[in-house]
Amino acid sequence: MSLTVWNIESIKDVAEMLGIGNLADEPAAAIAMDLEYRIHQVVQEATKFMVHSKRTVLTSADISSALRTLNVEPLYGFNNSRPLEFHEAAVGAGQNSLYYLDDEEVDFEKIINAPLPKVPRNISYSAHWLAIEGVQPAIPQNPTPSDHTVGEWASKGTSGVMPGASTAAKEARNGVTSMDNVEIKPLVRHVLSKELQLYFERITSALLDETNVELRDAALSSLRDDPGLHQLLPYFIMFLSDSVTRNLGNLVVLTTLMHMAWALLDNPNLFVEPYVQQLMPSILTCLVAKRLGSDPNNHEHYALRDLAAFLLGIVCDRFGNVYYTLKPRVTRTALKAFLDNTKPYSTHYGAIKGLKTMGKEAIRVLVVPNIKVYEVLVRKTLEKGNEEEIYEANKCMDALYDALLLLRDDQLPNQRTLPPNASGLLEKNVGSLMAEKIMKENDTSLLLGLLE
Amino acid sequence: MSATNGPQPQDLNRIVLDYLAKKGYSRTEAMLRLEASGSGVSVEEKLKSIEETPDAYTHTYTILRDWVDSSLELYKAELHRILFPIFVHSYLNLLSQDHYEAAKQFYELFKDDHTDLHDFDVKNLKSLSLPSHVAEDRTAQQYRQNKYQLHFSRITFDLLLHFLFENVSNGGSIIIKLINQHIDIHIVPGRPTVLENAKVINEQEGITGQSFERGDAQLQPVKLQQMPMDKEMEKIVEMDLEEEDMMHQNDPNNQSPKLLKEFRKLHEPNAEDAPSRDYIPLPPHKGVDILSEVEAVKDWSKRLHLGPRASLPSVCMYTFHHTNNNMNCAEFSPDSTMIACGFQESYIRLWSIKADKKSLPKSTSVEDSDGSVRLLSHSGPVYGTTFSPDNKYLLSCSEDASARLWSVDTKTALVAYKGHTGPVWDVAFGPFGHYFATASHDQTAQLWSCDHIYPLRVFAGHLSDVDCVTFHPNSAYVLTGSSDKTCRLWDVHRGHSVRVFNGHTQPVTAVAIAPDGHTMASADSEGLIHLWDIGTGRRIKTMRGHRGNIYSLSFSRESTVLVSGGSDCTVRAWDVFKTNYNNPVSSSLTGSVVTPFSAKTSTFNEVNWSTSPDQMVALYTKQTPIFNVSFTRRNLCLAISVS
Repeated sequence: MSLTVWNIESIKDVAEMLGIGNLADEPAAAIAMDLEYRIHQVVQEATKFMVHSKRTVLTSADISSALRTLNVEPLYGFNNSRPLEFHEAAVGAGQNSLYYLDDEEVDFEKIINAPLPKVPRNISYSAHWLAIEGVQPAIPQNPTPSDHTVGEWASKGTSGVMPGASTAAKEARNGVTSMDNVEIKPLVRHVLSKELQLYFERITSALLDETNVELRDAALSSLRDDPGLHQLLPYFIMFLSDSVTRNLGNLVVLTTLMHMAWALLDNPNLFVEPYVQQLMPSILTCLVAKRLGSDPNNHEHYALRDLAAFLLGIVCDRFGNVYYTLKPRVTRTALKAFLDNTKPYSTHYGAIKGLKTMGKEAIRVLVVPNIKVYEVLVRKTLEKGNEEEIYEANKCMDALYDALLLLRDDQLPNQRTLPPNASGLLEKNVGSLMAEKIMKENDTSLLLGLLE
Repeated sequence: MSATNGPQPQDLNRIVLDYLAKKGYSRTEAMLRLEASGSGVSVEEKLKSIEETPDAYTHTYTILRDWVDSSLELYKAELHRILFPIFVHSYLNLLSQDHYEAAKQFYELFKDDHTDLHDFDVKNLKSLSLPSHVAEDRTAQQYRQNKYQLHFSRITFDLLLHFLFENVSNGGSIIIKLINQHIDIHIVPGRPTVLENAKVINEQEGITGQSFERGDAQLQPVKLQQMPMDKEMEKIVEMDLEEEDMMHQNDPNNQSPKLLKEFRKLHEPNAEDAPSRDYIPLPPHKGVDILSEVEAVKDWSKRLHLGPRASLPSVCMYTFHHTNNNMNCAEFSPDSTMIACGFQESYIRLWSIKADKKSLPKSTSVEDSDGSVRLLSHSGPVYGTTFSPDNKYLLSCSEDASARLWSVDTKTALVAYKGHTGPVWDVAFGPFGHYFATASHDQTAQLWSCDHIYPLRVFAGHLSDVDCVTFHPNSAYVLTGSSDKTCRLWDVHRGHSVRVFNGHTQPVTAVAIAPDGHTMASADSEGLIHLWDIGTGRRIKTMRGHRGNIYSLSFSRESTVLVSGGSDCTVRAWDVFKTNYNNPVSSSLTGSVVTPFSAKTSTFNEVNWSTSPDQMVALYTKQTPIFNVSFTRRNLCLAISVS
């Protein structure tokens, strides 16, 4: 009779419990067979209730409903809200272990005096577009393509009946709500390993430490080359934009941070594309901010602006095709800064540098026609300003000249000659100050390029 | 035919010969006479002696299986089909003769042959162990009381007969007896059918509980066209639409076609295929009916065009949070302004999904802080809800064996309809209101009208729970899906079944009829969707892709796109007209073109799970099972999922 799930011994045990001693083998076997059938019948019936409740986990309420439809008194006292927990007890060597439900004793006083449990959260709904014309928009409510391919593999493992994760989560939440301290977990949880967290802390503290140059360089080179940092990338980007806004007065830190951005962009193992939007403000801040560094007479901030402009070039080159609005937006920001004469020269300098990275066309169309207007501002400063201002204005003129160099016509340096009234034409185009500067250099190819 | 006292071989031969003569199979008849004369004498004794031993069934089944396996490829597919009923009845015979151990051994030995196609029943039969169980168990009784239908080509049947008579002394007699008692073999003309897919059973095969009327049922004419509109009402609607057209005539921006024209196109009179108006009596039309008809025509003219050549559907998902697994069902109102959800705790909750939350009028019933309303009256879990077409009433059904009518305006219970004897699984309002249908655990579906507290029709015929129900768009038919793995179409007027759709291998969990009235879809708990032609009762195709229970199906307005959703947390859209090539290799290949994700699935190398090529798109949620999908009148797809 080994074919039944229920062996005769357990039947006899139950019989003894009910006060029937010496149950013969034959009736016990018959009862065992019938028992198995009845259990199957109840489960089959209960499954229907489960399916119609659109669940994939059988609950004790389903069993109760099944018993009711089979005209059997349901079993009372099995709480539906908490998953049942079976405990195992070893009966003795060589025997099957015994499973039992933990029935803890509860003090009556305690229950009466206990504070009322918290009210579970009210049922609510939220609406979102699952698909628009068959395409799933990339919004937080929709899973990313990688999520469900993982899900499909997982569900294959459980013989394709259902994705196990959802029920597990549902069950977990179900259990939680019935307990006292209701804890609502965020929908998306990012798990970082202990090691990565430690690494993140070390790197960030090394970068912000102005005293230890070696450690800083080591941190930067680690960011530049190490694989496996992808999980940390969003955190690094956050850290970057956070630190930039907090350390506007500290040139050393700002420069380090720009180097950090460079390292992240350089790392071949990192996929920075999704974070470009968050990265841009930091770079632009270092490019066109009014004041960088605490000392206004310190001219080192020009180097930082140059670095920022260089990074801007990298970003626009690499991601300009993907974010097709990126370049126009950056250009617009820089041009606005350049044409705003209420802004200090430091901002203008950054803006000119930024425009330069946008290429020849930007200079030709946006900068050249404005040089003449800009000259008015510069002239005013040269006449009335103090030494510091004159230095800054000259710096801007140098930057402008530098930008104009892009327009050099390298193609036909010898076959074409300058028109006779070159300087006059030039003055008309870019104003006398700049014309003077260009004529001094006597760069024929630049002249040709400008006069074209 | 009694189970204990089968016919003697002589009787059998006579029956077979009569049959052959009737059908005009003269050559077979001659062959049979020849063979019967050779081996008619000693059989009786041998038969007795063999049947005494419980091992005989194992022996004969093995012989039969080996012979089928070694038969020609051409006939193998058909011959294979006979193994399952022989298996079941051998097992049941052993059990009822109280050979418990032999039965279990037999079951364990051969159950793997049938898990592919008949998993559900094979598992259900496993727990039987005593003769009394056989007499009591539903599944066993299904097989005992109904004949198993098989369709064989003539050659295949001849081959089988030949084999059985050759081995008559070697156990063939047992099989002949089983065939005679429990199997109904129909001879179909033509070549043997090569079953394209191992996972799908033949439509005509299995137990349909209709062994006698069956042939007739499939031939009974059905009128699938729209019910013609009341003449008077039609006139008023046309007048209103004409007025509407006149108003927009001078508007240069108005590119949409004339409403009146659209209306005429929609309601083209089609006398021969439409049920007449007095076939299904309906209450006289009211002013609101005309307004809603005008609205419907406007919506139709403004609908999104969906399909393989137009655009893919847009899906708006409503996700419910903090339900604690207690939500059982959810349904949109036809005007898409409300959601009604049924809960395990016996109440129904009504949400307004309009932009302004105030649209649910204040009332005395229990109101929550978020503006939703609780409807209390049921005394068991609520399993189904449905709105009336005019959005004014709500019906619900529950485990307490009743259906209840609610007024959406006053939020109060109006009527309790008590007619079922078991939990009511599903309820559906008719397309014109007034009538509704319920599906119940007591194996019946019932038709009601709102003004009677007793059912007008009881649709009995399903062999297990009726799990889902829906109305035909012309209100003259009701479609039910059942745990007995079939769907049935019932004539509302006559009250009996006019079509049986047989072919699922798992309980049917959802059904839907296309708005054009000619196509229907049914889904089972394993994730397969079958598409059927109602007129012929034939299966059009099978759509594969879901992995688990499908809870809801919905056709687009033009009946070109089918959308499904279920426990595998995906919403899938299917092209109704694209044919599936049944070669699994090619299907997985072309499938990967249609959707980027099936490329992954096809690598599983599992024929049964490869996505069929007619899947247009699979949309994934964040692990929230989909309870409901439904198209609005403008072809926007709304869906409900539960987190």
